[in-house]
Amino acid sequence: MDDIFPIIVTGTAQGVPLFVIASGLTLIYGVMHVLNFAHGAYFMIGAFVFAGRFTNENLLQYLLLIALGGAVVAVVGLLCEVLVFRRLYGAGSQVSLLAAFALSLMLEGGTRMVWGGIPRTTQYPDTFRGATELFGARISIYDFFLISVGLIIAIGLFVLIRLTTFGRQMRAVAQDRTMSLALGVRSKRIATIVFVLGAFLAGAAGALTGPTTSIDLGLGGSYIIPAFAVIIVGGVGSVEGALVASLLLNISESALFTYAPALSGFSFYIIVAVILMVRPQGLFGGHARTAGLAR
Amino acid sequence: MTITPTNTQTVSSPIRRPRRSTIPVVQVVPIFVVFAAITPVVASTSSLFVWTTAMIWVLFALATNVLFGWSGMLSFGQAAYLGVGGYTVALLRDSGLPPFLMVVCGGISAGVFAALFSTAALRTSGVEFAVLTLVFSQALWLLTFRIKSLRGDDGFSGLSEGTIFGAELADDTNRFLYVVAMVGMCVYILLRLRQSTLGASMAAVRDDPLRAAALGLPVRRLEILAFTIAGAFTGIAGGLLAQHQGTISPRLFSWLISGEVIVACLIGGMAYFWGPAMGALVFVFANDLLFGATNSPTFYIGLVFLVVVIALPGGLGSSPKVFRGSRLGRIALGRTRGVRQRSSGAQPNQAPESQGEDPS
Repeated sequence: MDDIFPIIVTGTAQGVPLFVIASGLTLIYGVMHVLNFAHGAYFMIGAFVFAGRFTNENLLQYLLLIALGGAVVAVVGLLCEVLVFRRLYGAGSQVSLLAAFALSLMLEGGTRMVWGGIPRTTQYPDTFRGATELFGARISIYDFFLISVGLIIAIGLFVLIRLTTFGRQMRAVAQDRTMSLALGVRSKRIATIVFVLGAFLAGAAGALTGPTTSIDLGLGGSYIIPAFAVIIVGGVGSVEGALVASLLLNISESALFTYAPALSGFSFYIIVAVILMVRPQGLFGGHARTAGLAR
Repeated sequence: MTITPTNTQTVSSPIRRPRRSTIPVVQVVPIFVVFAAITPVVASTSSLFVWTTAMIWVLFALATNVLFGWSGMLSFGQAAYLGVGGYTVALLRDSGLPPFLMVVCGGISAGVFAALFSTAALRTSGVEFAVLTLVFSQALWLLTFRIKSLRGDDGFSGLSEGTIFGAELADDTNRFLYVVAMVGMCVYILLRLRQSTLGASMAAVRDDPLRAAALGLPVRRLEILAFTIAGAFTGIAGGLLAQHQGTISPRLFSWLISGEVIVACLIGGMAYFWGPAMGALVFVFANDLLFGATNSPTFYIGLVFLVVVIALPGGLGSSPKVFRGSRLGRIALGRTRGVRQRSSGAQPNQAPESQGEDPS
């Protein structure tokens, strides 16, 4: 049972980028009912911005680049929201889904124009290189860094959503847009801010993941699908759900990877399928859907 | 426009005009015959290849619309059934069956997969169900690498061989005629299904599952049936695609294809039977044109789709309605005051909004 500790640490660290993307997605879906397919492209752009500038000089540069990745993507997100999604709120979620898909194609093509299609790799920053010995297991230092960043973001989001006026207004819009408008909540502005926040998180997550993976044009796709799975398993609209689901899925995936290597690659999907069969509304989802009552 | 309820399920006009009859079934046959006769003469060899692909995509999109447009179910994993159909044909390559029987087998096996999957997965609904379909297609994609006899990235080749009534399938014109005939038959069956009581009950489930259940419709069974029909016809499209391209690879299972077919349906307009067919034609030809013309085609493809979405949220099928409602259209039709509202996506009597994705 010595493997348990590294399994948990690796799983948690792998879950952090996923959680960060998924929390943005789930917020956007909760507030404006847009299943934003373009989120994977945001993530990818964040990673490319990071890889294009990173020279491994010092820690400050590294942290600034993560913020820069987030900021660039936040601007992209703002443009998407103002130019596209804002026009489509009345038109139903299928239409905005198509718009999001079109945007993700555009962003992927744009990324190819700006950075070219060649995969890139970056190094770990010096401070976080190597591994350390803990409870008799070797744990990479970058994993600890990822976990602490994830913790900060999770706490930050919790405070924002639960304890601030903005968070209360946001929850109001998510619950009932018309009613909150009637009560004087500026739901349009809330929607824009939430969208930009979600985009920022996706960009920062991309930059954070940069050193651990090869950065290419397929990156968006390989993260957006698990992120969708995470928000569904966690319960749509719930950031806590996204947190629990991303950790649960990744830890059990790395456990299955260790104990049942034959299932590697499938384990993520198996867990998602099992959870949804048992609890169709997701872990933190509210009541069962009305459509479910008809059966 | 500021106060727009996000919950659009409830707005469905209480009084519906009786459905204007769609194109009578009999007319489908001559359309396909004329089309099949003219195109090989007019088109060059390379564009004939694209036309064949487009016909297959027409079937794929129409089959997918059984879910989205007819019964209001969402699926992000239709590529799974395209792949199952394609791989069935590939595995039957040496069986000596006539090509069209291989394709039918592809359709049957895809239908079986779809029936089994939907029976298990329809505990969920809406977006959750859609994610399960995505998960299933990804799992099948992985399986093509794990099962030795499916050959992973190498895939299969040499699938265009075989003869039909003595005509070589490898010949472009023969293959085009064969595909048109197969697609025509499938579309005919789909149209008959749409106009049958089964199609009507699916529409009832789409508009309001609770009310449909109260009226005694077996909602769950209808949804499984819809999913199976969609899967089977998608499998036929997959088999045809395998024979048309001659090679297949796991790319057939890719989630991008699942996304692209949704795009095709939405461009055409899911509320109309022929909408997805139009969308598929536009999609395939736009892809073909832009891939040749630029080095970053995805950007422009995305741009084209975005413009279509913003200008015509109801799809190309809604363009007559939008035109009639627009100022230009009213002048052209000699009406000073439009009877209809200026159309945007939020019209209550437009079906795409009243479908199942409602997240309440």
